[in-house]
Amino acid sequence: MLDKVEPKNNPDDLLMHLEDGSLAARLVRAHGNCDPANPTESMKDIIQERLQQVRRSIDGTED
Amino acid sequence: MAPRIKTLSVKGFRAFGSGEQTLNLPADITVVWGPNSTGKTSLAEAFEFLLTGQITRRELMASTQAEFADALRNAHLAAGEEVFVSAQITATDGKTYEVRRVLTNDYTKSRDCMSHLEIGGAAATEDDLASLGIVLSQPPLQAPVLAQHTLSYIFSVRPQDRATYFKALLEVTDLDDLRNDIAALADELIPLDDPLLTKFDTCVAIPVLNPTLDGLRNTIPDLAGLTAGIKVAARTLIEAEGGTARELLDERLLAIDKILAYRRSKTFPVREFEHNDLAGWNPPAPEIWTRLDFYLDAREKVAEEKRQLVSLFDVALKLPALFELTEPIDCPLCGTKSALTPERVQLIRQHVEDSKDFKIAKMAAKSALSHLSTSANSLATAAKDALPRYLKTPAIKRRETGFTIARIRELLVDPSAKLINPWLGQVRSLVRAESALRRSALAACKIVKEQTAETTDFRILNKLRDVFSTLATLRTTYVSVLDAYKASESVLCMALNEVLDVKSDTTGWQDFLDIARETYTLRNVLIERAARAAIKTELDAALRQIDWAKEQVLNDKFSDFSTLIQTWWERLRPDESTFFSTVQPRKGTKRTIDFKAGLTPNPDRSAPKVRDVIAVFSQSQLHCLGLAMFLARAQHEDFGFIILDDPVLSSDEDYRINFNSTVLTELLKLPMQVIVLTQDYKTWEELEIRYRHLSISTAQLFIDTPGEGSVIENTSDELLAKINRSKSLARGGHPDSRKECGVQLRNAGERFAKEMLVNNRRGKGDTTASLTDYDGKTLGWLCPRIDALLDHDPSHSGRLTAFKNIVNNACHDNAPPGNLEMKHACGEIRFFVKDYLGR
Repeated sequence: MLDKVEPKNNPDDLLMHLEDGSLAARLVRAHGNCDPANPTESMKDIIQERLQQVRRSIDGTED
Repeated sequence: MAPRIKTLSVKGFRAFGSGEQTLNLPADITVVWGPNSTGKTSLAEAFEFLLTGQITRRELMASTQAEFADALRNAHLAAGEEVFVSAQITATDGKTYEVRRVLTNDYTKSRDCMSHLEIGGAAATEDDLASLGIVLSQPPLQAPVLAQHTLSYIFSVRPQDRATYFKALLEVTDLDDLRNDIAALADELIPLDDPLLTKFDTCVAIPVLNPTLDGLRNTIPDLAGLTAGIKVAARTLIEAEGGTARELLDERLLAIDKILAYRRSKTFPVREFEHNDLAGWNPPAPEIWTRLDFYLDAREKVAEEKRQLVSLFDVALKLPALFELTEPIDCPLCGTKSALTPERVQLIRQHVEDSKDFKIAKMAAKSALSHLSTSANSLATAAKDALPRYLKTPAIKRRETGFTIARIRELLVDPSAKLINPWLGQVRSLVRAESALRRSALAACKIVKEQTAETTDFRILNKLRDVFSTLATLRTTYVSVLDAYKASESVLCMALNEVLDVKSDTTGWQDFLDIARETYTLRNVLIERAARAAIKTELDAALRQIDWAKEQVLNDKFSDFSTLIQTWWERLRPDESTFFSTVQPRKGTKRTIDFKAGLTPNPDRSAPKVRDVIAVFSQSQLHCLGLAMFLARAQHEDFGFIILDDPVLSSDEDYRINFNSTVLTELLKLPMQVIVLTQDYKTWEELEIRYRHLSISTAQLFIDTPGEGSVIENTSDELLAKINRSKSLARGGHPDSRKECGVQLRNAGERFAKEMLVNNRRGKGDTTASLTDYDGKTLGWLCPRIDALLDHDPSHSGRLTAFKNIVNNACHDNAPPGNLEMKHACGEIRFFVKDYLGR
């Protein structure tokens, strides 16, 4: 009967202290796949998307 | 609904003996009174054992664990008797289950106890308790049981260990995991490791190139801009060497190539390493061999004599006389009469026709032999051409240029010097492979050249086939040896060039030439590197934000928990000038928790000084704080029930009333089932009165004989309660205890007599008869009036009078009777109650 009690923090607790729409907030949402608007977006997707944006920005080919 | 314990049964566990004892818990609140050493703590630990299979007292007293050997099984229990604790528990689903734990092995000096758990008769694990809604907390204090040793535990452990007590509440490891997962993403964004970038960074370090290239690194232009920048850098380099730059980039790079080669060769003839690629070569096509085969076949078909006469036939047939021959004529060669008939001329024509195909085949065969010769010759040439220049240069001339192994060894120091021997090994293999191939190719060439269409035959042809097959194999070997050589040479040259570049002050020039010739790829890798660096920065920032947010979450939790503890503290000790302030993590630590007290001289608690509670709280205050924390944790973790073993110190009369009233009321409001074990009789009495409206259930603990062990008497029966109280007091050695025993016995005797009178009147039909009818009546008034009712035995009247006399002696100022007399009096009144009232 050891360590039975699991922590029960909700990522929402964290989100309350993060700027909405920030990379940190998006990653936290994606971690739990708790964003009903975009349930399949993974953290890696977010990073890859952001990486692509930055590449385009440096390349001068962004929309 | 929260789970509720309906009964608890104990047999053979610690102070409990062989008879199964059951505590009924029908109400939301139960109070159990038991004097010292009658089994209260054993009862509390029975709850704990049932739920966890352990008792924490052993665990918390680590230094004395060995002393808990055989602690759970009652010492007086006969061998083979079962030891168990069981409870009827109404679970969250509304159904009632029996939860039962049987002790199978007691603690030993070094080993934990063992037991098995059943729920509803089926084997179960502690995890299954959750299905009943029973919440257990973090070890070591898992069960919702508050005992004296658990109260002191939280303050006696090191501050860094206190986190364990609050783990379930304050743990954020799930958020830590989240954070670590995100950090792992950052780790995956490893900086781009591309040779072109390494070369670019080397070029940036060249002072003359730095102003131009550093700008390109910081702001990456489009391809044209990058090429223009490279072009400018090339011009700068050339001009720094005193040259004049041409217009085109390629021209400038060639110029740098030349300068670099020149500068390097002043130190070492590095160009001797140059070599041509091995020219392509294919084995003779099958068609070549087919042509030769066809020719040999044709040659066999046309006989030699005929072939020798073909020209004669040609001439003869051109004779006009033969052109339209209808009659035999004489042979123009030998003059034989009428020798040339039309049939014979036709035969000559057929001979000529046959020889035409042969001629064509012969031409093709000659061409095939020529092709084979060229092929073998070209292979020999190609093999040599592919050798590095130094292997094609005569040794004497090589030495003149300074290309020697000794010189290479001189230039390369460890660890690069270790590259020389492997390279030499490859050189030897290369020379052997080239030599074998070239010699075979030249030999093949010679064989082919020796052949003529006339002399060649099938045997030679087969030999040629074998020779060319061998050449193909030798060439394949040469290719692989050449590749291996090139790899070792490349490594050697790289190291050598680095040395040469340093000695000739051209470090980074080769890198510049390389990047300048791959501007498109260079730009892509520069963009990729910059993008990854930007994302890494963003991720690092995101992690910092998450760390900060996590800290805020933890602060919120501590704040909430502090508020909860404060609430219970205030219920216990309202309005004190020294008060519990907060529980907080120590700055800069993860697991160290401090408890802070506020000290204020002001009634409104303004301007408090904050100190560690351990330093400023009295034992009583620490005790209250421990209780407040236990209650806060129980509330936060949503325990359905709690067991409080003497939660109020007997010396803390000041706040006992707060506990009995406010604290218990608030706990019941949560709602939470509360089981209070107390040694304080007044508390027991007060709670019975205060919570009578909630049908409080009451019980008492006593021990008649050690062998029998603790006995639970479930009773709200005031009379039996008084007798039990008396029994306990009768054992006391101090005269005051026996006096108090006398008071209790007098009360019990009066109550017995009153109940006898009321029962008698009711038996005669007086339904209004009530105990209150006899309020204020003493034993002296009551005894004579029940004398006639003691009709079970003639001795009873006298025994009651004797009882009254002992009690009177005890209650008066004179020395009370001894223990034996008092115990006798207890037994007498218990006898009358059982015999006449049936209880």
